[in-house]
Amino acid sequence: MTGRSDRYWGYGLLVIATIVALAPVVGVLILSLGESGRVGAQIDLANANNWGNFAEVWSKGGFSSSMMTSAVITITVVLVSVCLSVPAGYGFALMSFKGRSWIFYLFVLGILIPIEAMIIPLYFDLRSVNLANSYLGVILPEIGFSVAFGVFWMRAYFIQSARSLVEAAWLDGANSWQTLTRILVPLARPQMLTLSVLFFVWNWNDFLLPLIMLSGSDLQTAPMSLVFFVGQRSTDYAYLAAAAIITITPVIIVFVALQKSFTRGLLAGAVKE
Amino acid sequence: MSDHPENSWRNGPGRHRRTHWFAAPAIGIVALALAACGSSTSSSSSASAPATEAAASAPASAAAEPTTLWVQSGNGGSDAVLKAYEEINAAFEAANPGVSIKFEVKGFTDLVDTLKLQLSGDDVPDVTQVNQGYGSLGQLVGAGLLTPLDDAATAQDWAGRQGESLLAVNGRFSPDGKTMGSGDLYAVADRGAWVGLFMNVAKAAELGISGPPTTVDELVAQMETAKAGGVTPFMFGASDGGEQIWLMADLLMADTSPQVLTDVINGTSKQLPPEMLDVANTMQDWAEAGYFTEGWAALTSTDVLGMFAEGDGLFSLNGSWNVFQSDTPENFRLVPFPLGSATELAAIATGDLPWAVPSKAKNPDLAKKYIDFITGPEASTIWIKNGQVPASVSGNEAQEVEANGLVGVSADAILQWANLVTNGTTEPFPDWATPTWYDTIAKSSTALMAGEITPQEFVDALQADYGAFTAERKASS
Amino acid sequence: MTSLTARIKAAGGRVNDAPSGGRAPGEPSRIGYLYILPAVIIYGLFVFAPFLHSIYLSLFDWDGVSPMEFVGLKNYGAIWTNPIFRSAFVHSLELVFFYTVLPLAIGLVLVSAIQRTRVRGTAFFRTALFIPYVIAPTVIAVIWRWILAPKGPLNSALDAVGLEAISRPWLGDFTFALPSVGMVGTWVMFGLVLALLLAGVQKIPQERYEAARVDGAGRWMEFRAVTLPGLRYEITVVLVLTVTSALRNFDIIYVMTSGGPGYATVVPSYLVYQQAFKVGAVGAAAAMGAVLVILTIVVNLLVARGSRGAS
Repeated sequence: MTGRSDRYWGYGLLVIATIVALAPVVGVLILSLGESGRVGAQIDLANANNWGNFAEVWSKGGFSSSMMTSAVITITVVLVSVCLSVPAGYGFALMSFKGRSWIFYLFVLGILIPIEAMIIPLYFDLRSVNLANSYLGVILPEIGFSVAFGVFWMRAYFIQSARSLVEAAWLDGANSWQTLTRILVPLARPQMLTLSVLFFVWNWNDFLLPLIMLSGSDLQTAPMSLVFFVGQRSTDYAYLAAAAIITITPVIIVFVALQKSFTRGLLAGAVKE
Repeated sequence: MSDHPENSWRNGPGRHRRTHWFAAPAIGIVALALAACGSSTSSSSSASAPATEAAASAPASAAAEPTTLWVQSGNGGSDAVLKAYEEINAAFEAANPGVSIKFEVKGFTDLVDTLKLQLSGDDVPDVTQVNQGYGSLGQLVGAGLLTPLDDAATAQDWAGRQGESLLAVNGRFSPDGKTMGSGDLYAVADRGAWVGLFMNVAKAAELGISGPPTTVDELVAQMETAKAGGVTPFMFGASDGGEQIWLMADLLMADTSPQVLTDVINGTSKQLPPEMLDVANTMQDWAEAGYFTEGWAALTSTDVLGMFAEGDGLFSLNGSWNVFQSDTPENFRLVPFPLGSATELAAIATGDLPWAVPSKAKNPDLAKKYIDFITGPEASTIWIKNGQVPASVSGNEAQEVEANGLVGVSADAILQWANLVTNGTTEPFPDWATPTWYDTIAKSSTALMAGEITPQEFVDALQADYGAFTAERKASS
Repeated sequence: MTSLTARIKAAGGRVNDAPSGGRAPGEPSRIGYLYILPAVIIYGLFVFAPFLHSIYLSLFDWDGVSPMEFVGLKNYGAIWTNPIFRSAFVHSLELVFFYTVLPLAIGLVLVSAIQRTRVRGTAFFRTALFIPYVIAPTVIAVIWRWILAPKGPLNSALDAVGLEAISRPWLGDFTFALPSVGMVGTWVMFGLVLALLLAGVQKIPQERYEAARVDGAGRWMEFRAVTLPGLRYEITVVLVLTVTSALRNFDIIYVMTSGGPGYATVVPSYLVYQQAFKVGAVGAAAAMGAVLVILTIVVNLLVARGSRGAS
């Protein structure tokens, strides 16, 4: 049991795990470059050069507008949710006020509620105030679900890492707002970034809420464009795969670009007090 | 956030404020929001007034100022259909100066699943495709969400174009939505849709089979021949549910008569006919005999039709809306399922998603004009040109099919439709019988054919669903 | 992910650990309301209120458009008496095995194999392993429908290596459809689990391993005495996250199988959707959703309690 053999073992297993995780995605990438119109679903590496599939799918699925819709919704939700989660997490973590714990329990509930269970009343409620079939009809509930999670995230960080800092700042005469904006927010950047990445991933990928909330409008999101190809009368695997690749690309880009900070936030958050 | 819901809170019936507790804002907001929710459900029923006003002003504005007609289709994904609509819409705009069409396309499932939510709101299309049956059109009619089209139908003699029975099957409902097939006209189809047997006649010739079967026994014999010759007898895919439902209905008609199927679908009796058990046995036998595509339970009906179009198998069962292009179109035929009686011509044959005008449409008269146009003679020519089946029958189909060079299944789809509407019986889709029947038949028949349940258990499962709905419908109507 | 740790704390009832120094001189604590107010308003209006509305609707027979009819708890009773509804809940518990138990087992075996070494390039591995988790569920369903198709890559691969006996129409097989869908969940979750456990295992001080070795501990003892306790926190996070996903699974089932073949892969969230949108039974759907929420809460409380008990 030498260190060296251990290391080979470790690398070997990690490489296998990575291949298992990525192979299906790579397979779909190759499939998306195959010949369109073929019914068979086999990948054909030799002929995987039909880059035109992407242009075809892009226009057929209306991806120009759906990617834009998804971007508007997702970016708004991410920004607003982070801006709401940070002060709320701060309040729950570092201030004592009446009802604090049970308001907090209600937020716990928000993480566990399956959206299918409440989507119909949500639709009727929003429509009664003229919010359905609009950007806001998707954005506001998405923010609601996101802050449920974000409040936990930020609260956990502030409880673990910030208490002594805050006490010092308050003793120095800073008020609570100054403490938050000048001391805590700069420190909490990795956590906020990690939270943003998670929000981005979840909201970009969300399917049911936009499907229902936008049913009466001509807006559609990227996953809705994809499902349009699933619902086609005969499955054209090359097109379907190309649509799948288009749909996931922004998320992959965001995730890979920010993965370093994402991990830092993850690790810092995981450090126990 | 200019349209913040604050105003509607004030109108809410109950405002339970808990002033003793400082964090009341949160609670109060929730309570007020709830109050707003409570009132939201009642508001949907009282909204026909603005529609009437809009209706009154529509004709004038249609003639004079520019009007936008909002048209909503559920034919997303069917390129040929959408191309035809482009042409038809251009023709309509040309014939109606000042009118521009906003043509919005959705996928079938998206449209059907969200239609009730959409039409019960205020922001509705002027004209939309709907799905037939108790679960879809019936509920929309019962809730008063659609405008009857009888005035336009009488004025333009739609019955003369399509036949009264087809109009009735696609769009007639009692105003309470409880009786299908009679009452006011709420929806009209522009394209025919019928289910038939696809046959690879080239392969049949190789196997020494002379022509399409005329009885179920003959069909079975031909399938045996195919199997012996190493050809998949029946390209069958069950994972989307449609194909086994059509097969069940066709076998029931063959075993009894078209009238029995009609009665089952309309819910004339609470009891399914005893022959259902024979049908169940046949379906299970065919699966066990190995007539179906390998892996049929994991394939959709369109998967297998695609394989059929590439030359796999002898038969398949599918809809005229799924006719395919082929390099060798003469190799394929589309014929009605063999019912065994030489005199009786019948098939599941209705319309593609029919068109309806929502009660709250802003331009109802123009919308009716649009429906009249897309079911009229000018549109029919465009439909045939694009290889689609016009619902209205002119008698000129043969010439037009020839003029457009249509052969094989594309020609059969149009010509057989005209024949069915003129000389035969058009049957509704079997799953219209109850809101849940599609799912019940689809799932139970898969279990039946996979040998997971017995034919009797299958019939019991269908009867449980069917009996419950029929009883409830009869009780409340 | 750490918020999940907070989530567990919350579920375990530790929210009341008021920060002792939370109140600074001259700083009224009620100002806390101002900080939480925006989040509370949006959450309350757009998540919590519709949820309460949904529970209210569960007491009615309603198709979404016709007048509502009060039926009391009838919709809840139907969940008990309808065998299909009952089986859906059983299926989702079976999925917990694939979403939770299997990924955790795989993750633990892998981290224990590499527990003593500092592997270089962990950033790369962590990113790669995380990819399945960031992919949209609809896309995951599309990918795996293709892989598991009767003539798809999986069966081709099995045939190529002489395992024709195993290849089958996975999603059309009454016995194998649910495990097949479950394995997709395993694929989504195992990378996430592994990435979290890798992060956790790196924080375990090397001295503990050295001490264990000095005591003559074998590989297994070392794993039990050092690695497992060191990962307690991460394991709890993983449990909560994966169990919740397993119970709420909708998109993957909807696109992959729609509950078929037969009723073999029907799960509660699919039924909620089917009842609400296909059948038009909004009340029944709401009741099922409420039961699903309760089930999710109970299972998470059990996890939280179990992990506290273990510590």
